[in-house]
Amino acid sequence: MSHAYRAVAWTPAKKKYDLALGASVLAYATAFVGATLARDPNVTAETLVMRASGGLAFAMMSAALLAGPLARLSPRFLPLLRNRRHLGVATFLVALCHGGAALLQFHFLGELNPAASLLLDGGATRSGPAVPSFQVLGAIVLLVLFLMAATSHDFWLASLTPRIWKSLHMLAYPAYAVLLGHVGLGALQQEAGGILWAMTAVTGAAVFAAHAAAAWKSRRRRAAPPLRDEFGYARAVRAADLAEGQGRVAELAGERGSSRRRVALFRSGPTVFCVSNACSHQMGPLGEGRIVDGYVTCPWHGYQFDPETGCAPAPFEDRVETFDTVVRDGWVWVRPVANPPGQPARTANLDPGDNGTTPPAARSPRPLAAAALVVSVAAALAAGLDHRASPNAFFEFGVIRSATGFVVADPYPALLVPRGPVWTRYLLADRGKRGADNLVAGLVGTWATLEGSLVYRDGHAMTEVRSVSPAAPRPQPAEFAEDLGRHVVEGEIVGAKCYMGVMRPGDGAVHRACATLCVRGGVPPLLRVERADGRTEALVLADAQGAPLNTRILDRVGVPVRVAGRLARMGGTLFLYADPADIQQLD
Amino acid sequence: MRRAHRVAHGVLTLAAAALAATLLASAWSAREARPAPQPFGLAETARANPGEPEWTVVLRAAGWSAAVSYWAGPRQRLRVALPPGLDAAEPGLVLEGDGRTDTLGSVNAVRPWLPAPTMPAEDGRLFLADLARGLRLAEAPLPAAGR
Repeated sequence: MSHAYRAVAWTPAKKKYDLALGASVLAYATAFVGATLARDPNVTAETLVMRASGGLAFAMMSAALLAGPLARLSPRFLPLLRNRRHLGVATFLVALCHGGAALLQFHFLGELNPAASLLLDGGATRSGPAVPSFQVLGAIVLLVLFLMAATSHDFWLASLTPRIWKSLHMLAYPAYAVLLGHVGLGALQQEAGGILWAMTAVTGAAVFAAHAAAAWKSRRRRAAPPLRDEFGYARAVRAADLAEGQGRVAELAGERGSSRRRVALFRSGPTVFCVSNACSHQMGPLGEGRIVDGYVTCPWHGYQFDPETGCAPAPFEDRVETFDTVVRDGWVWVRPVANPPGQPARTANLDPGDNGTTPPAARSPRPLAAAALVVSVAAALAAGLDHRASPNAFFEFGVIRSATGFVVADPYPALLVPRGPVWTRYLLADRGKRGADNLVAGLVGTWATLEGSLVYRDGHAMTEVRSVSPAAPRPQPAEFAEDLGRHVVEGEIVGAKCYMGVMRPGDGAVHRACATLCVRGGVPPLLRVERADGRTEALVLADAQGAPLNTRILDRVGVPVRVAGRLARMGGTLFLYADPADIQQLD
Repeated sequence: MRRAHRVAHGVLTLAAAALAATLLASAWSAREARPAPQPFGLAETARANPGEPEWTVVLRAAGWSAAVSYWAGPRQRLRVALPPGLDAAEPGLVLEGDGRTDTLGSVNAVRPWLPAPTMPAEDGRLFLADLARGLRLAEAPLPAAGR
C-alpha cells in the first residue's frame, strides 16, 4: 500500500476467484466450440476464434459491470467483487484475441495499411448516418479496456491519484454502450435467429437496470433527512441494526448541512466504530465489508484498517478518516466531522440490551462460482446454436492444382478451361486481397497453364493463383453472352474470393470492410442475391460497357443495394452489366 | 463513494444507457434494411425486349451487304460464321458493328477466326453462333450477290 511498485499479493480468496473465472472462460469456450461445430461443421477456425472470443469478451465485460450494483443490492454477490480487477484484465485479453483475429482476417494483405483499413472501413467513403463502422466501435472499446488493464495495478492508482484513476476507469460505462453498438451493428447483423439479439439486449438492459436499482436503493436510504442533536451529532443507525463484525453504511449531513457524506459503522463486541465509507485504495465501499482479524476489511480488494484509528496495519501506511460516535436512546449518533487521519476516534459502547442483529453466515463463493459456470455454458450453447451456419463453400488452402486454359481479361481475369463441349470459367485472384490483373497481364488472349488453390461454391469456382506460364496454343474458345434481359435486382455486393469460400461468412456487415478492401484491390465484385426459394445467386458485376467496376462502387460494397442492369449468361456464369449510377444503396 | 463520484457515476451511466439504446436501435434498423428474398433466377428470367438487339453486325462487300443482330453483351467477342465460298480476307469484304466503338473493335478482333470451325456451314446465310454450346443465336439471309 505504499506508493512504490509492489507485486500483486495473492490471497486464498483471490485464487479461488481466479480459478472460478478460468473455469468459466474454459467452459464457455468449450461449449461454444462444441455447439458451433455440431451445427456448422463448415465453419472456419478463424471464424470460430472470432465468434468465441467476441461473445466471451462481451459476457465478461457485462459480468464485471454487473458485479458492483449486484453487490449493493444483495450481500450474496459480494464475492464477485473480491478480485474484479482480474476479471477486467482477463476481459481485455479475450477482447484482444477477438480484435487481433479480426484485424488479421479482415484488414491484412490488402492494398491499405491495416490500421487505415480498420478506420476507413476497408477504404470506402460511405454516405448515410454518421455512425462509425462497427469495427471502429470495437477498436474504441478495446482501447478503453487496454487503458483500464494497463493501469489496473496499484502502482498506477498511486501515480495517477485515486481521483484520476477512478475517472479513467469510469470510462467502462460509455465503453460498454459502445460495445453494445459494436455487437448490434456487427455480429447481430449476420444472424437470422433472434436468440442472440434477445441475449444481447437483455444483458445490456440488465447491466443498466442493476445500476439504476442500486442507485434507487441508495437514494431511498438517503431520503430520510438525518436528525441532528444539540451537539451536532447526526443520527445514523439503530444500534440493534448493527450486526457483529458486519459493516453498515449510513449517510450524514455535512457540517453546514449542505452536503452529505457516507460513513461505515461497525460493531465489534459492545463497541461501535465509525470510519469513512470510501476505502483509500480505490474508494471501495467499506461499509459493505466486515471486520476480519480485528480490522475493517474492504470488500473490493481486502484492504484493511484499524476501526478505531483508521490506520492500515504495519508496514502499510494507508489511512481512512474516523468519526466519533455515541449511543443514545437505542441509536448510534455520529459526529459528522472527520478526525485527522490516524487520530483515534471516540468510540461508543452499546447498552447491555442492544445485542444487535445476528451476523449473517459467511458467504460461500461456491454458489456464485457454480452459477457462473452454468450461465457460461448456457450462454455459449445458445450463442453457438444461433449463429448463422456457414455456406457450402470451400477454399483448398495449401492444395495446389494445375489447369490449362484460355486467359481472358474482360471484365475480370479468368481462365476458360475446356470441359468437353463447354468451357468452365475460373475467375482469378492473387493471394491476399488482390486481383489477378498483374499476374495474367502478358497472357491475355493466349493459352496458359496456371497453378493455384481452388475456391468453390454453388457449382462455381475461382482460383487463387500461385503461378502462371504460357501453354501451347490451341483453338480459341468461343464465348457468347446469352441475353437474359434487363433486370432490377436487390442484393449485396461482395468480393468474389471471400464469398466463394475463402471466408465463411464472406458477406454481411461483419465482412464489409474486408469485401471493400478486396474489391479495391481488384478482386471481382459479385452481386449476391437471395432467391425466394432460399438459394442464392452470385452475379459478376461490370459496367454497361463491360469494364471493371471495382473502384467506382467501393461505397456500396457490403450494404444492401438495388441494381438495374442487363443480365447475361456466359458459360454458366451470370453477368450483370450496370453503370455505377444504376447501383443504389437501399435505405 | 463521495457525492461527486456518485453524481458522475449516475450521469455517466445514464448517458451510456442512452447511447447503448441509440446504437442498438440503429443496429435493429440496419437489420431491417436487408433486402428481402426475391423471385429471381434463370427460370424466371426472360428477355425484357427481345426485339431490341443492342448491336448489329453488318457484312458488307461491293454491291451487297447482310446484317445480323444480337445482344451479345458488352465487350463480348462475336463469332461470325461465314457461309462457304466467302473468304474473310477477301478484298472489300468488311465486317462492322453498329457504331459502338468497343463492339466494332471486338468484331474486328475476331475476323481471323472466320469461318467458324465447329459450326456447320450453311450456304447463303450469315449467322452468329455460340460455338461452345453449338447454338445458333441469330441469322440473316445473304443477298444473292453475296452467295
